[in-house]
Amino acid sequence: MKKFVSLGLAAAMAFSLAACGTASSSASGSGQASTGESAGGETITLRIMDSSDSTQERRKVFNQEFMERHPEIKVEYTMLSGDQLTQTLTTAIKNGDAPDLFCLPGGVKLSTAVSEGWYQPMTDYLSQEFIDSFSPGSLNEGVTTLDGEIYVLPEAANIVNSLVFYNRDIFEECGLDPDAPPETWSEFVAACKTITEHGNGKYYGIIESGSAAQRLEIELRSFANIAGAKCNYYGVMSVVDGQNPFASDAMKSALDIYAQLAADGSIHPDSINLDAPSARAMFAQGQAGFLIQGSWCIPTWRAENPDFNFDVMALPVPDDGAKGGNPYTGAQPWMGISATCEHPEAAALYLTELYGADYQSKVVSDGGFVSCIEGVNEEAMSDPMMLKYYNLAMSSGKLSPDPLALNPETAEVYSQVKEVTPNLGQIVQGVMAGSITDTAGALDTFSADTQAAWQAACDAAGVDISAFEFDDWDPMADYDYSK
Amino acid sequence: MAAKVRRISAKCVLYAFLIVAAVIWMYPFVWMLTASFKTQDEFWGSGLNIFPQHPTLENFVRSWNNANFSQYFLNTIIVTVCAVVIVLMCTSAAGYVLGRYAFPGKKALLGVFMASITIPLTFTIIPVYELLNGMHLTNSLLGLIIAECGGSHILFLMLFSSFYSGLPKEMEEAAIVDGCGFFQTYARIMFPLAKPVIVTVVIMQFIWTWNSFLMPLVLTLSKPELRTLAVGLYALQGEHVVDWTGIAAGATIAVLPVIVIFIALQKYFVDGIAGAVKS
Amino acid sequence: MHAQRRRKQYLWCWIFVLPTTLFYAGFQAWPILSSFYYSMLDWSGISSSKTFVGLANFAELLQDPWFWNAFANSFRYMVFSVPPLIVVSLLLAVLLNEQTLRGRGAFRTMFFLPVVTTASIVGIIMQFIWSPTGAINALIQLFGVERAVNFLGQAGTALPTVAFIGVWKDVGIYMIYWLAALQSVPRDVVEAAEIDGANKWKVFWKITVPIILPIAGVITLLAVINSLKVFDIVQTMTGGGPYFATDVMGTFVYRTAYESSVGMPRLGYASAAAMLFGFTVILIGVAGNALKGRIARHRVD
Repeated sequence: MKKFVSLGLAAAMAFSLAACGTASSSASGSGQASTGESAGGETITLRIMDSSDSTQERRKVFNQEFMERHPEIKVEYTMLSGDQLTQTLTTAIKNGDAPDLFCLPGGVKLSTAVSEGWYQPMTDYLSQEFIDSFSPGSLNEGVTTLDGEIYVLPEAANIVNSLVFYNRDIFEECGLDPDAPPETWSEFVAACKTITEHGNGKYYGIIESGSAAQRLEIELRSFANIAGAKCNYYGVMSVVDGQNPFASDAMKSALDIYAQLAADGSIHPDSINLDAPSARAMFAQGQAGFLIQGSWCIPTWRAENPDFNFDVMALPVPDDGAKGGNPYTGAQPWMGISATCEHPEAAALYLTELYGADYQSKVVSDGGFVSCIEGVNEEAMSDPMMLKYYNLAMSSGKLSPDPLALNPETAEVYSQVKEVTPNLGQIVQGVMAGSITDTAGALDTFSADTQAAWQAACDAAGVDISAFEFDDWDPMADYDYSK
Repeated sequence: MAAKVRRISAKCVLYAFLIVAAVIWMYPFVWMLTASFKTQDEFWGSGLNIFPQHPTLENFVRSWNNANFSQYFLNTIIVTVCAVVIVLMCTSAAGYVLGRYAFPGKKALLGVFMASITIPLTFTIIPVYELLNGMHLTNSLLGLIIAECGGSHILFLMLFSSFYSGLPKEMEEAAIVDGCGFFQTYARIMFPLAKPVIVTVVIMQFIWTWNSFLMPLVLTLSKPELRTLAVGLYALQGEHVVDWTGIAAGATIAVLPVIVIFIALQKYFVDGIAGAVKS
Repeated sequence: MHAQRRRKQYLWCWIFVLPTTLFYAGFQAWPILSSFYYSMLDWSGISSSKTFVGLANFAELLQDPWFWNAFANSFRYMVFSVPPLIVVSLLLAVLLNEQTLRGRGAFRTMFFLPVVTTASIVGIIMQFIWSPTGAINALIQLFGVERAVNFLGQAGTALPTVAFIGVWKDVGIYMIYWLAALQSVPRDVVEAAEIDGANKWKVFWKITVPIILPIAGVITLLAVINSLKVFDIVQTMTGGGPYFATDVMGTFVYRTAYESSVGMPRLGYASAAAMLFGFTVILIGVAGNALKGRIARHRVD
């Protein structure tokens, strides 16, 4: 019986795969196929766990429809975020109780997960057409794939997630031109000051999510890379001339922006203790002129603050011009099939439909989501602000070299490296709170400690630190992965 | 006459003080209560104002569905009631003998209990899961109940033991004369005497178990139908998207039973119980 | 006969403590022993690769300024929170234990409400209240303070503010403990004293305090220990910030065990921090006890 069911599933899968790309017809087609084959069959339960909070509502509907199309499969979906996900997943995996499909917890690299035996390769369960439906650069050796076997798929295309939102109404009130937002650092700092002075306690220049050290580090690295620091995206190790880039002049000048904003009183005073969603909500209440966040803000504001008059601009560049782009890495690993999953065909079927043009275009049209499936974004991205964000992200963002994808042996270094306290994000927080006055000194100390930690990790992993150095990297251009 | 005036005015001052303090104390709760009728925009826009401009019930509907209230409510009740009863039985019995009897090993036991409460335990989840998994109790309500009973109850023990140690010695002697054995003395006479402590234990354990999140989540991983309310409510809180008004609405529904329990039980704090027995 | 009865009594005693002891062994002792084992590992908590490093984590901790920062902050939090917590909750309990007070059930409930108010909501509303543009600042400006104070955003004021909020949230719990304790004060004794003309204040000090003293010791001890282990309210309000100004042991351990920007978190190191902190508190407790004993003996002499 079991064999019969899985045969039916395979057939259903093949059907839906064949129909993949023709959007709406695929869903109904595969549904008929499977209900026909497995009449009276036993039910399979697929347990799925990830942290996709922004697409949660869509996902529930998708799961419901998926179960209607495939009555023999029961989907049990759990959304968890942050360390709750990590704790729950690792405990479950250790005890052989892993969900059938689960996302890679933050900070864990694929090679670690695979060597721990978390995932099984899924290439055999996927059709070539399905694999080809991903945009170029979405599936990378070392990131989603190991030794040619696909283990995990990326959730979405990665785009720059630190562009600057601004409040057009506040701009007008303060005599700034909302159609010509500041382009350089000094203009930006000056605009923040003007807004703060105008606001007189009602609103401030910029609001930050100061308790989210990760967000602060992403921003700082973005500013620094634009100044030519070659410092790569959050969480990526990168060296220039054998040294980490954190004590570079570009990095120091980027941190000085925060020191200047803090000295001017331009940062919303509540910022220190805000998480990203709270900062976003307060920004939409007209409490600040600027907010540096990602595209996920757009659909939330559309739904909750329909009258909010906001706009988006690129991250400002140094006064003497940009020496690099807003750094981002290629698509990140997300969901794979558990090694203990007893129904990999069903899991693959779920993935196939999840990445089907039908569902993907729905989440793209909701906003805040950029699909990694070829052709979906162009058709489904309808919100003009989302389009503007997307275009700005593509033009100002520059793909930076990911050591994992280029030198897969670096994965072992990541699993060895020890965190340095305070980290970059916490240093920014210290600057904002006025606890750190010697910004250059703080970065020098951080850089020295980081160098020691990275060197120790490289030694432990038996990898030369030059594996993190890319001489051919021009931060003004997308890194060419084909070399 | 003057004394009476003074007493009345003292009373007025006392009431005024209590009312002001109580308003400060309950304000955030009231704010949460009314925020569950607000829109997300108003949640952030209205500051400390508690009155919703355009009251909506949508938050309740959303959190009811999201948190699977209808399904999880019964689980939560079962787990909480069982945990409260078990913890009450265990800690009152242990507190009784620790407070009134000397027996070999007592000092060592107390020492170990007291020493262990100083350690900030944040990663109990792995060993506890391993333990229950070894007993084949994961993914069952029984396992969940046992895990919820296993929290740190040193406080309850101490409350019971200091309560019982304060009772006069003659009580057991009278009971023994009446022909009661050790267990009967405890069950018939001593246990019911400890009403104020019992009430305390019930309230506190109820709150802990009712709000417990990580343990029920991890222990019901393969059986989501066994989850509790706190786990369901968590779905409203993401990394990028937080449904604050949904959380407020969910919390309002979830907290009602706790408040009802509190109101029902607090009246057992009627002083002089021990004294009445003494005389 | 006598010895036999005594043995029987011992047996009963052990039967009575057995269930609690079993629960304790499984869900407290076993996790603590596990943590002790973890504390000697170089382990992320995620991967299965664990290296036994002996006491290296402890040696590193002794050199870690952020560990000592959290250590000191925990004790500062205790100093800020325990005295007001004990005094306010006892005061409320005594007032709300007054038979003649009307509506005491309602008052008790109102003071208890913060205990059951969801932490994330408390975090947001407290942000509103303590913000430089919030209610508290408006209030102190009435009293002539000119510059707004960023209570939660400044290194100097953040910890006392969080401690204050912690007191607000926990007073209800301790009020319950005190109410339970006050029930052991015999009504008739109090009445007799009142008939003899003693005022409330005198009754409180001469009758109530001596009777509740043993339980008061327990409650205070628990308040001290719980304040040293504080986590939830700090995590909600400040997450240990601004720049580690409110980083207590609970947040230090949590962050070390579960968060990292590059590389893996360090569960082993975090366990060692928890252990070291726990041992230190025990040592302080033992020393305090010994000191107390000495003073008591001195007095007897």
